[in-house]
Amino acid sequence: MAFMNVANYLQIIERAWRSCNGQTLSIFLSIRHDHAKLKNYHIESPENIVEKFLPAPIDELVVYHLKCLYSMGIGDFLTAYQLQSALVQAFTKILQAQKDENWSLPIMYTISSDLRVIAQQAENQRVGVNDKPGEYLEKAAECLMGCFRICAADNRTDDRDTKRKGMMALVNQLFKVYFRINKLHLCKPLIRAIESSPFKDTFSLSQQITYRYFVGRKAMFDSDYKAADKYLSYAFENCHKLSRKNKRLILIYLVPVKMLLGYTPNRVVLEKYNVLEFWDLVQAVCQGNLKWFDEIMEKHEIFFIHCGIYLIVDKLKIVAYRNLFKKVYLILNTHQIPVESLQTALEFLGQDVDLDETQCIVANLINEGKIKGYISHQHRKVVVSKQNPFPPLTST
Amino acid sequence: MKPLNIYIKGQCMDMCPAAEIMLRENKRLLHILETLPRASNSEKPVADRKKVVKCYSRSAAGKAMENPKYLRPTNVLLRTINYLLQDVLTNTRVPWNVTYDFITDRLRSVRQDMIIQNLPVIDSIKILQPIVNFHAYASYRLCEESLNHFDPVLNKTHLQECIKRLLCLYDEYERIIEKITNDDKMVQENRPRFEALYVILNLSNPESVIRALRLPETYKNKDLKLAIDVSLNYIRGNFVRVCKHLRDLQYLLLALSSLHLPEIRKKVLQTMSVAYNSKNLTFPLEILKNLFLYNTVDDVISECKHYGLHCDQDNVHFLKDNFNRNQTLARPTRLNFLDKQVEDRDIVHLILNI
Repeated sequence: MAFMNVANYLQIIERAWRSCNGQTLSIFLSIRHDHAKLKNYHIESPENIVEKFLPAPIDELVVYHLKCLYSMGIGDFLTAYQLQSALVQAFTKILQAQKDENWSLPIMYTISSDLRVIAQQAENQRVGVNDKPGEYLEKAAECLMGCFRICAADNRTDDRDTKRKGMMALVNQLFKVYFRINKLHLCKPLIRAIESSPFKDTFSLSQQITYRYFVGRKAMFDSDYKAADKYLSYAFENCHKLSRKNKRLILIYLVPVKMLLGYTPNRVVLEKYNVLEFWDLVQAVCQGNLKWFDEIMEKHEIFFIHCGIYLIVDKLKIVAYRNLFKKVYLILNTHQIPVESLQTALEFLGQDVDLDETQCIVANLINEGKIKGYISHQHRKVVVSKQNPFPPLTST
Repeated sequence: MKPLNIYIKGQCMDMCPAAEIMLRENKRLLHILETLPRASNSEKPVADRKKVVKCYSRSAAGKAMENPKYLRPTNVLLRTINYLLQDVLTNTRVPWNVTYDFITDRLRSVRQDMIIQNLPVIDSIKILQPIVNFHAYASYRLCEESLNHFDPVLNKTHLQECIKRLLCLYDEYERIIEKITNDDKMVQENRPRFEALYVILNLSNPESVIRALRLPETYKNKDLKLAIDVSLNYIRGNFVRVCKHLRDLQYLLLALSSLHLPEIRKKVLQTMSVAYNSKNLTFPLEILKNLFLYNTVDDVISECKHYGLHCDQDNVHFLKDNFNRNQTLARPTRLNFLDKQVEDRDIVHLILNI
């Protein structure tokens, strides 16, 4: 490979183009393939040599690709972004012109993922005072939407050759962009497009996993924890066991969701995937140890914020309250728990709360069905149900 | 094609271009606050050249937005803002809602000039800060005004737009390497308060508090920490604590946060009507009044009734079946204890931050 010259490279592309070999073309248009690292492929003006070997329209793609490699080689990602973006747009036109065939989809997968990666690099290189943060990624997303529209609209072609099969890969790329620039609301129409697609379950497993990972995170963000559990569990269970990094990523979101739904993760699993940050949290929540809980929140604040789970982990405090109050109930062994006792327990665990606030916390738990009973303000008592006053969280 | 990064530099050294004064005088389009006093209403209004301010006009096809003669440079824009928020704000010629409309329109044209010229980051920051303060203050000051006179939604849109732009500018400023010492001090001092304002304005939106949590520690002063705490407790549903901490916020932030009270109170009453659900037991109104910042016990009674809960003289009967979830939110009201703190003349200082 290392010795293949550019002429040779162009010949391979020419052959692949003639035989409609999308797979090969995608490899040779990738910025991540071995050839991209070789200096002799970093060509500032490749027009002449490319034209000698390649017919239109594939020549345009290769010209942009080689120029892009050149820009990346000299570390100019802003120009590289412009070139890759032009490449994707040129490809979009080719794709649109190819009626009733979808062999070129692999090219689309590669160049769209490359576009996103380069846009990310360009973000870090922004110099102008004038461009807004996230602008390159946003423009990259627009560019990908161009491809997406063509794929989604290709509904006359029969199932074997339809470009609609390319939708999920694009959606996944778009998810990655939208999550990075924090525009989650833009995910909704994409999800709808996939959910209503007849190919919903026929996309490749790896795409399904990525898709559900993001849809699960989105559901989590919208506080729809049951759905989040469903999607993230699918992703975790199906993700290949050697993809440790990905499994860990999924787990970071799945663990707090599961805990909120009343399940306790197993220490062995947390240890295996190197997310022991959660183990203390699990124990603190189970014990209702609010002091410890606060300490963990402070200690891992940056980790939680960075992963975007700070707020959901913070919600576990409510579960911790419930577990603490249940302990007080079991110790006092009465159905009429004095609010003072609950407050004492809270204060003992470093919570600076008065009676009103304690009542407010209990009121929320009753309202959410986590405690069965009612509060009597006159007697300052929480009167809990004789049957099952603290129903298991999994049932609420 | 001209290069994209070259912007026009304004040359208009007055608050309003001369041509616009003439035009509006002739067409009788001057605002009353821009005219000289007249002997009688039948006389044609004459422009008071020191008081006319360029008004906002939408960009449209064929309209020359880029004529430097009609655009004001930074120092003129800042002078215009000072004039509007100092002299006009305190005028007694017209009712406050009229003043508000006037200032809002003219500030909008200030923003427009700013954007067309793509002014430097630090200039834009200086321009936007008082504008944000003004809209924040107005949203509170006019919260009881009839909807015919004041549109809270529109005001909030202006406010969101300005504050978001301001926060983006702060981010951008952070990335700029060369900083001028005086300006830097100004940004360091002001930014936490505006970050806090964004959190308070979007109390129910988790994204805003996440942004605040991610800020470098240097910006997390007392105000911002308090705003974060209020927001987190709001998300947890601990409204007793939310209201307790609201009181410690500084004036503008407290005023802005009070607009969330109708929402907070609805959630509180809804939760309580489940948690305190009882045919025999009641809950004292006085406590509700104190906990949730009502002005009077009568206000508590009317809000309880608004949601279908029964009250006697001193107590409310919580029954979960009586609570009407579909009832619309009550309108916000001004807080007596807050209005006592600040007099009209202080407002100028608060808004201009001087």
